[in-house]
Amino acid sequence: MVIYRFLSRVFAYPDLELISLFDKAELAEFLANWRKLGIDAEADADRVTTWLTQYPDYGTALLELCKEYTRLFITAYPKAVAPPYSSIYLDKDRLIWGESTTDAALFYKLAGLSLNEDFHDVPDHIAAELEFVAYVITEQLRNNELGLPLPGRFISIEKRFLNEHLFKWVPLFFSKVAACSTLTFYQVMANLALRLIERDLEYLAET
Amino acid sequence: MTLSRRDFLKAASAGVLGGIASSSILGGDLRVLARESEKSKPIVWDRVFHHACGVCDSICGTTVYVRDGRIKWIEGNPADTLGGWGKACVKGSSAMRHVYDPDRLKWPLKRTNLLKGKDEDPGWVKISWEEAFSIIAQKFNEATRDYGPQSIVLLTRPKPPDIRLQKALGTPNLINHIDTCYSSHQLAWVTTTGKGRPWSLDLQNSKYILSFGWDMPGKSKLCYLNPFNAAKDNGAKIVVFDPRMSLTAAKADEWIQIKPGTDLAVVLAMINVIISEQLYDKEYVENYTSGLEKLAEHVRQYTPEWASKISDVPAGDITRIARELTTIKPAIIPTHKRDAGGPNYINSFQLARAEIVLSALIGSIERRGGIFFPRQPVVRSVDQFAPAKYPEMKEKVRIDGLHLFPLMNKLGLGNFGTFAHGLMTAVEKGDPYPVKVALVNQYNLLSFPNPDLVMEAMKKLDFIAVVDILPSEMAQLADILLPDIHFLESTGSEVRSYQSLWPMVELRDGIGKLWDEKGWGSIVNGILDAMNKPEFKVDWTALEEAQLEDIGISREYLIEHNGIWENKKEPTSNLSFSTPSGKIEFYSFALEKEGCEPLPTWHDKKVIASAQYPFYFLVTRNPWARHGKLGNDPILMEIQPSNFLHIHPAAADELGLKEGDCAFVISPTGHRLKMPVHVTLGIRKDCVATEHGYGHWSKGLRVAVSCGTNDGDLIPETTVEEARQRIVFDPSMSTPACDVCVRVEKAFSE
Repeated sequence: MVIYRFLSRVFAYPDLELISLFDKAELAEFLANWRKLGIDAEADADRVTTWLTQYPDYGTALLELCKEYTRLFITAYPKAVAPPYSSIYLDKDRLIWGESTTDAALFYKLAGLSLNEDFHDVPDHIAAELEFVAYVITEQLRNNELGLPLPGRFISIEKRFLNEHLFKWVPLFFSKVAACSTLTFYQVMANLALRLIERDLEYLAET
Repeated sequence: MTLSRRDFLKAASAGVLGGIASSSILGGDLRVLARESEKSKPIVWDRVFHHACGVCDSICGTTVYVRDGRIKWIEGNPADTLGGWGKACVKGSSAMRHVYDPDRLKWPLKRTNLLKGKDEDPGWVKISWEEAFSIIAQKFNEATRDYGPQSIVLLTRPKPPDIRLQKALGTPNLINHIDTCYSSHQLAWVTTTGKGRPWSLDLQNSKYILSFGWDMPGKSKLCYLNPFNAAKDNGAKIVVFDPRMSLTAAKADEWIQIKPGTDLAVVLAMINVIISEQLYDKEYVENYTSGLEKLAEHVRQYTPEWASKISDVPAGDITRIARELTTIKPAIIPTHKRDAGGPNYINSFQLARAEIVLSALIGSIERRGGIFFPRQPVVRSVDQFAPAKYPEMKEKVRIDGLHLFPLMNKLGLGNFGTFAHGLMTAVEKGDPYPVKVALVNQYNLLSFPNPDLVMEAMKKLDFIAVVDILPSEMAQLADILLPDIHFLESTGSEVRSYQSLWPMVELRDGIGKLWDEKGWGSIVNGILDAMNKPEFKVDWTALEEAQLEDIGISREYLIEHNGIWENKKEPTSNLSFSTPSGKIEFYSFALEKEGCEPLPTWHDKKVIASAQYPFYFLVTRNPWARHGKLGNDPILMEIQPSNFLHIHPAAADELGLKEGDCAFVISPTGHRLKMPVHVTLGIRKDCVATEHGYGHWSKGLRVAVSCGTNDGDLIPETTVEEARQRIVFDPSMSTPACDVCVRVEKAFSE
């Protein structure tokens, strides 16, 4: 599902490709389509496009994004605002690599995936988890298109991952980012992510 | 016909009882019992490996347990019989939390806010290693081009990669902290025996242990704590001279509350007693020492009565202990760092020399139950493995002034005490020459005396690159901040150095990097590459493999042999010394040649208590601490969240202080620290003490920040001129960290 892949990209370390994405008309259309999910994202799309126009070029905008990303998620003074790992929110000692990290890694394994070595980070990083959701949904949709019965495995993996793991921490995570980011870009994106989660939770409850 | 038992039982469960059998009372699954597999399962580990601990220099062998991708447990490695003896201490076992500290530095960072200070947000942005190296190279090359290589300062330890970088760059300013560590001891051993760093103590075979402030057991250095305990279990007598009741003193048979900085007088008097009563080991002294006559003549003035007046130790005790030292054998006088001889007072060098003289008189150097020089495997050096033609280092003058101390300068160390003034003069006045850029590797601001002054000096540099694990105080000053690997992540091997009674190599077989950190060797290579000096790069992994080959082993060997290689045998005495006379020199020709006092001589400590500053200031450290590095651990900090001011009840009474009150501690540095008070009989009335490792102000250390106060704020830095005035009796240029007096005032609650 492109939406989760999109969010995974947004919450990974920014690069020029990401910025140029926001300058494209297709993105505005993509976000407008969220209405089908019951999420009105048009205003948000406008806010981001407007935000982008204040910079003379992509390079300048990218620097601001990188600084804010570092501040929110990596190392900051006094401390990173919202370390993007499930273990910080779900595990008692709030350290890196808690039990929830292992849970995430296990889910990936069940779906035949593991962390890309080039990523140089731990498995429960938000970008990895969002990409994972995108993957299992895509696999289901692909089977659908091919007229194959939905592989029950992927359905249950998705459901369990969302209910038992991801949705337990990302509402808190995205709220924090939305509240604490000083950059329009991350405020808007975190807010959007929150609304998507809320909506998806409703969907899940129905199925 | 009787039914077979089986048929009987079969019938019994059906038929007559059939109805009940299928009812819920008798049916269903087990109720009182449970299947074995359903009870708590034994822990199944994904991986168990041996790993040399890297928290302190005891380098104990440990065993590390991993499950679900994470280290869950660390304990000792029973195969390590020189360090941990199968145990891991609180520091080592806590390391498994530190590797997962979310505050850890993960990626190279660049500063975007050019202002620097305690409350300044550096505005970090993540960059690539390529960009980081490129920026460092550019800054270093510019500084070299415009001001010469000496304008680069390397604040790092004198290990092979550091020295390699220094020589490749051609700067004299490779500066480390040994003047606050064991410089006095090291130079004392070098000038007396020709060799330095004899940190291998055969304590477990000792029957008499005499400590002048030595407290290695209390610092949880297992390699010394273990044999110390064994000695005690075997009935050794332990005598400790210390103004404060250290943990070692707490285990002693006699704890003598000596006046701080006066141990030298006691040791000189003991030498006098032993010589004049002819109690020394005649065979040892005859064969392996020189200068006895000169020494005897010289120490005649140092009587027990004289020493008693200076030190507050009864003359009778001085004489008695001197005699015990020669009659209860084997005896040992362990020394190392931050004891009375090293380098806490301006007379510490003389004390260090006197302790060696005393050890030689009782024949305990290179003898069973005594002090040994390290036994380490002979391996090829970096320069043998990767020969390089280094540029000529034209500038010999160093900004820490160490070049003016030729004996000490030969050892290739550095001086933290004079660094602040030295750097400040260089950046402000260009004297002795301009200094522009610095590279700091795992040294924190709080390791210096008067760290605020150091910070002010460093802020004036054009560019600082810092390598660290956590966002320490030093990291907050960086322009480029580089993440180092944690020892639990690393692979390789470690050669035992402390307590190397026989040669030992230990395995590192870590869990791999969590992020994109780089080890120091790799960082050095990256900088050299970016500076266009690839000819100085070293494949450190290949070097290590080659060195293991030199020993006749490999990584596989270590893995197959419980993580340890050793050539285990009791050390045999090696009684050849590389001094001019070939013997242990009571009268040191090396010192005489430099115009320094050749015989151990009495000098008083620098600062005597006065009305304005009536208390001698002592510094210690908790056993679960390593420098100030482990403060970000919530469990360790829970043991003691703040340092205390330890004070005697009578002194507390006079000041109106009770247990738990707060007091201000004021020193000549002008700093005024507020500390909670701990009233104890375990300290002299004229002394106060506190623990080092607290007072972090870096907000990047979310647990450690603002816990307690930093002792270093009260400790004055030194100047080169001041150190030079002492060169005749202290050629080791020590930074006398406890040679300071303070005032204490009750703090009324605000």
